[in-house]
Amino acid sequence: MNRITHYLPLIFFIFLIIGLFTFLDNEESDLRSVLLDKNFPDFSLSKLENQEIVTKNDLVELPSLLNVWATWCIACRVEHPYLMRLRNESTINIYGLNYKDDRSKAINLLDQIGDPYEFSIFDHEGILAIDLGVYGAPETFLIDKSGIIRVRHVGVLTPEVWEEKFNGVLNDLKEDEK
Amino acid sequence: MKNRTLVCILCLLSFTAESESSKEVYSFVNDENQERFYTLLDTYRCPKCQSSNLSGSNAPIAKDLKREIHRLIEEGKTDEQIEAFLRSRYGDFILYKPALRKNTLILWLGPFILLSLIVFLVVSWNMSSKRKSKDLEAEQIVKVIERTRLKKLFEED
Repeated sequence: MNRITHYLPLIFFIFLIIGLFTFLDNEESDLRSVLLDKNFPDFSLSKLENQEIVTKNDLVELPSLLNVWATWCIACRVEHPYLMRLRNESTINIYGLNYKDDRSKAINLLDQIGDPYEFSIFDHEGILAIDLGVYGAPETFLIDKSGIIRVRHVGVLTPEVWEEKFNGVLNDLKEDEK
Repeated sequence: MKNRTLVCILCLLSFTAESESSKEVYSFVNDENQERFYTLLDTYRCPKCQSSNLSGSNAPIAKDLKREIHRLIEEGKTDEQIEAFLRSRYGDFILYKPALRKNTLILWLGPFILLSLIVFLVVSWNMSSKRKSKDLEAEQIVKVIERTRLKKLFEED
């Protein structure tokens, strides 16, 4: 009896750790999955490149990606080459959401490193971002041809993430079209 | 001794000064709105920092959400409407205190269960060690009695 009570705290601690790890995962996915299968929110904002106002109706090349980026976002530079590759190699179009940024700095950056976007939405106040549940950069959304959000990824878009999260869904969408 | 209390008081004062300077200035139509605003800031989580609420965070998204909550309050929205606004965008996780649900039950009850278990273990260990020392004492007494009995036996011989 003594031996059991001796090890009981350790056993309980191990169960606690296992329990916490399983439940912690659930919280993370809760944060990200709220907008899935919902309509892309309406908005009316200026393009980055000029003062032209764009709305949800201007996102015509669907299905497409919406990529949240900014000049102050270091991780965005990491995913940028891959975005350029995606734009060139695959048939998917990418719209940019320039998040809480300086307009001229942003335009200059795209001139410097290349512009993978059809156009970028200039969301200086972050209002479209809030409607999307965005809380930082980079983030990437997959929007289907009905304007419904199918995938949301928080963090750098890598080939692995593309394979795991986006490619399968994209192929399914293409199948549906046929 | 006096120096230590002085240092303690100075440290405490510096903490209050810091929290004042990080507050943005918001104006409200009435006092009730202002009160509601600060209560709501405590209720909702900063989605970026995740382990602090909106009032305790200076992250860009926290500033934006504060601005939105301010706007919604001034527009006359109720607390329920504001909660719906936030939850439809950021999910249940935006609530700083997790909603009481089946899967969060262990989160809420866990500390109490853990505490009761520890108290139980400590008390039972204590009682068993008391029992042990009482047993030992009893053994000692029995030994002494037996020894004196033996002595008497030998002496009688």
